[in-house]
Amino acid sequence: MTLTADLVIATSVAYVGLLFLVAFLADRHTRRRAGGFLRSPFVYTLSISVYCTSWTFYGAVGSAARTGLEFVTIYLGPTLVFIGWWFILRRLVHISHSQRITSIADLLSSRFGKSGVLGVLVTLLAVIAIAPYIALQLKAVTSSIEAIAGASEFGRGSLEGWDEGGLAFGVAAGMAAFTILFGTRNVDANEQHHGVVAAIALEAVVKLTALIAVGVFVIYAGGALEGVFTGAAAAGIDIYDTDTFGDRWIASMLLAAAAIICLPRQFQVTVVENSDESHLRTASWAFPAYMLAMSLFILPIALYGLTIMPAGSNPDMFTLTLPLAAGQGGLALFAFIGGFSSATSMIILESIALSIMVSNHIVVPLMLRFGAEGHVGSDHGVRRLLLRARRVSIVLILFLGFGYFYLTRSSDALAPIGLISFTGVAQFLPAILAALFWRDASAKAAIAAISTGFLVWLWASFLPSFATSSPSVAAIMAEGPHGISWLRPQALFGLDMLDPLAHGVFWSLFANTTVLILGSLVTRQSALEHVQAALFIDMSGRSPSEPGSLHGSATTDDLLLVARRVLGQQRAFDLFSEEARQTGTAWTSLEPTPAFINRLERELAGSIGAASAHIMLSKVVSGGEVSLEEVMRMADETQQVIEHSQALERTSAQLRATAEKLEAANLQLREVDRQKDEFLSQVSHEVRTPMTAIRAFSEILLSERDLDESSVRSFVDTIHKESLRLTSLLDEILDVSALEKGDRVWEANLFDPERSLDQALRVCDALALHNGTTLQVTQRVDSAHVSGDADRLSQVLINLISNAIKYNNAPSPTVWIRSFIDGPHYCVEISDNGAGIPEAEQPRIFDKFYRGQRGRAAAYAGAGLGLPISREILARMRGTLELVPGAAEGACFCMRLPLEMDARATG
Amino acid sequence: MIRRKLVAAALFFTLFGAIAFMPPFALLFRTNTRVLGVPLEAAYIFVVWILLILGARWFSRVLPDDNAAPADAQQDRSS
Amino acid sequence: MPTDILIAEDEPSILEALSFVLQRAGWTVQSVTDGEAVMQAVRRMRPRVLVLDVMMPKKSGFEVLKQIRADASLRALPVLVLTAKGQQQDKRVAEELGADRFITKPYSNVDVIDTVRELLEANTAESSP
Repeated sequence: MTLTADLVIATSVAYVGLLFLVAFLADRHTRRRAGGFLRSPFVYTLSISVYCTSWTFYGAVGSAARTGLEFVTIYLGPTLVFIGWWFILRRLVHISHSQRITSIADLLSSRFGKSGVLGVLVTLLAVIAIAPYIALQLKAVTSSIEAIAGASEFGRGSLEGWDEGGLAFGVAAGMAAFTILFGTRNVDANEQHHGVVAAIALEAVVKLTALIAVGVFVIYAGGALEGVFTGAAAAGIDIYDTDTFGDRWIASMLLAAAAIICLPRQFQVTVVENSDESHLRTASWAFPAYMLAMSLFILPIALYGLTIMPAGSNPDMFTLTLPLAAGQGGLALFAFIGGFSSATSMIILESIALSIMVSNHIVVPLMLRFGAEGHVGSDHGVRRLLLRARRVSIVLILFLGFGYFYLTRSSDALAPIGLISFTGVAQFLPAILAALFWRDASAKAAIAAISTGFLVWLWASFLPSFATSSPSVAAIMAEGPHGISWLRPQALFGLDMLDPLAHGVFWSLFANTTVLILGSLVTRQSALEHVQAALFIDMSGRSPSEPGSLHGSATTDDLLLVARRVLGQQRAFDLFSEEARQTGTAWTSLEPTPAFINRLERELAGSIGAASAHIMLSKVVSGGEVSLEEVMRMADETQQVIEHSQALERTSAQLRATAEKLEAANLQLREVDRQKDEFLSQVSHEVRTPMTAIRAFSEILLSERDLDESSVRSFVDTIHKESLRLTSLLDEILDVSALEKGDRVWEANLFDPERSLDQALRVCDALALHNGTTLQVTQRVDSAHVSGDADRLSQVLINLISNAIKYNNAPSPTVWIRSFIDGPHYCVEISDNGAGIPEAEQPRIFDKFYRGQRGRAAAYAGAGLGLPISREILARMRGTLELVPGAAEGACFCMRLPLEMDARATG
Repeated sequence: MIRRKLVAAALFFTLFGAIAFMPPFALLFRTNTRVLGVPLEAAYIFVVWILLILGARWFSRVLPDDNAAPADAQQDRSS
Repeated sequence: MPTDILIAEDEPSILEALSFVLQRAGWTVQSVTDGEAVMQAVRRMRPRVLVLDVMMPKKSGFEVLKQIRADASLRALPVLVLTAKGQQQDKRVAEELGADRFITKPYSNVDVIDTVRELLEANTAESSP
């Protein structure tokens, strides 16, 4: 079998097609909720083995060939992390599940007070740090195609004329297309991609089988294990040549341990794609076993390759070139597919993980800041925007990788490139450990620490990788910037006895950790940070208390709108139905309780990240951020209790106030009731009195037959008089109640009050004559204009004048009447020369039913309603009625009405 | 073994694994000895590795069920 | 001539009617028109029955009654209370204060005469032996 580039490319495409089919079937499988083997802990373990990339497949062999046993450190670090799963990974998975964490940026952002800045920082740095790693995969795939193409004369086939850069570009473009097709078909709840995970698991099997196949071939060809090793020793190749257990050993083991936690794709498969926390138990030993199996044949392959391959051949490609050299075309193709598998799985997952971070921590916050409402409410919704953002970021990430590959293409070893990435992402480790274990770590310190570590990394690890392609970088490395020797990237502060890798790791992590610790000691946490820190660290405190929750004025409809935009119609509907079912309420009467909003926030966080979800819901719910008080209330149970009792106190104070108000109202009611009783009792008395006289005299007239004519006449006269009194009393009562209720329509006409006075005088003349009283009009106004009811005014004047006549018992009774203008008022004064009103009675004369002393004695006693009615009428006309005090003799009443100015001017 | 002791044992198991892989402990096996042609240090690393995997397998079965955690996870999944 | 009945009433027409019917019934009648005059008249005239209106100027009928019952020499005087208010409460107050009879206005002349007669006879029965 002769391998050509065309054949391997065709095989690759077919293989990708197979992967796609697997992913498609797996997605459909899980959508039917069958789950099954796809959710088994072994599929989970296999997906974690995306850790073993083409760096392992090709690079580890190269590394073993160059530096002996050191390559195993890359697997020993993760092994230690996994066998110690109980201490870090378990917490990480649990926290991420309960908080719906979507990525490592989300984890840090969430723990440090849902800090948007931290999310952006981690995302940007991850994208930069991963670029070399992507480049490594591109380089490996490119090199493997080149290796096959170079193996035979016609091998290049259609690749004729393509150089290495062009080929790598083609690979990158193909990978981008592939990843977009794979990973961004939908924005999944929780960012779980069952189809992708299934494909990754398949690839894990393929690459392991391929590597073992090559290993078995080598053992077979080399004459068993002993043969391989002794053969190598005989050829003068010995791993004792290198200082195995030195600073590099420790540094790379530490880096690998950090990477298995911090690499975005590892976080994605281990934490985010985890569907059952107990799967971690199996993975704790199965994943180390997988790595052991991968590593087992690395050393023999490297040694055998070194032994039999010509000097100068690329040891990174031994896995492929050894079968080729032996004429094993089929095995070589299988090995190629194995290497391709390891590269594609890494690229797919890494770019999916990074694109989630980019869209959730950079695109969505920007969207929320600029025209959030428009997008939240737009028809296409957030989902479409998210998908687009993810596709764009996948392309961006791959071409950043390609850029790095292009700039550093003259360096040929794979493993150092990977270690640069590892050192970069390891800068997240201190913050993650602090997130899990140190309550007082603050966001400011974390931001400063990661930035510092990253700057050191850029200088001491990233920059030196360009030394081979850039003379100016090489100059800086040799002499330091501007000749400052203590700033030389690989000998900072003159520390030049360390291996460059160990040097970079030491300085970056040392600076990072120091800044984190010191920074946290001197800065203060915000309230939200405090809450989140407590939540992350206190894993046992799984009380239903919901921290940092929002509540406010949002309606369920608002929430549903947001949920639908982000989660999609079906998922939002499911979520709300579930909530309705749990709370036992109808869909329509679903209440946006804090618990529900909290849950919704977690669900949204599963799609767009904690910080974005928080901001989004904050906007919807309260139109702003949560208040400090609110957060603190949620934070601290003690605080909660205090608040609770304060609320109780407030409530009881309100109750007390209400009770007092009620009591006051009650008192008022009782007073009104008493007044009403009093009034009725008065009315009863006033009616019964004339009725008594009428009845008594009628009975006398009926029963006594022998009455003389004058007595009869007198009695009938009294009966008549009393019945008149009764009638006028009833009129007055009706009047007073109508006046008090105010239901009578008042005519407010302009009229001349002098005419009313004329009328009153005419009516009272007869009474005065009858009583022998002299009426003297001492002063009159020609004419005036007031507003009101002329007849009513007559009524008032008649009442006043007749009172003066009736109650005047002077020997020669006289009543004086005068009208005059006093400033803006028209006034009428009525005085008499009677006994006057005793001072003690004066305050009460306007009370209803009050009759003065002289009233009782008079023959024409009214019900005592005349004065109150008169006063009420005048009040309606904005006038007053007063008893003028200090009159020498008799009583003097004065009424005033406001003059209508306009009328006076014209009239 | 009670839960606390098991957890402590798991911690020390992990730490001993780390120490075993690192100098100066690993340097003990850096002698010019071969086992079936394989250098002793390589054989040592792989043997320790295998022992760690076996130990982890044992621990994965005996470590207490973090009962609240899976329950929570189930709840989260169902929601 | 001893006074059989003293009427304390401020309404002139009612007073006139009462005087007329009681005189026609054969008793001697005297009257006062305000509360303050009552005590004085009672002491001076020593009437056998007092007809007392509640609503009177200067001093209410109830106050007068209270004073009479507080005075040892007058305590036995039969008192007929007249009221125009017609409320149960008034009747109760009157009874508590020691009124012998209570009549609400408007009354039937016959009722008043009968009641006065009862009081006079009871008084006679008590005091003559």
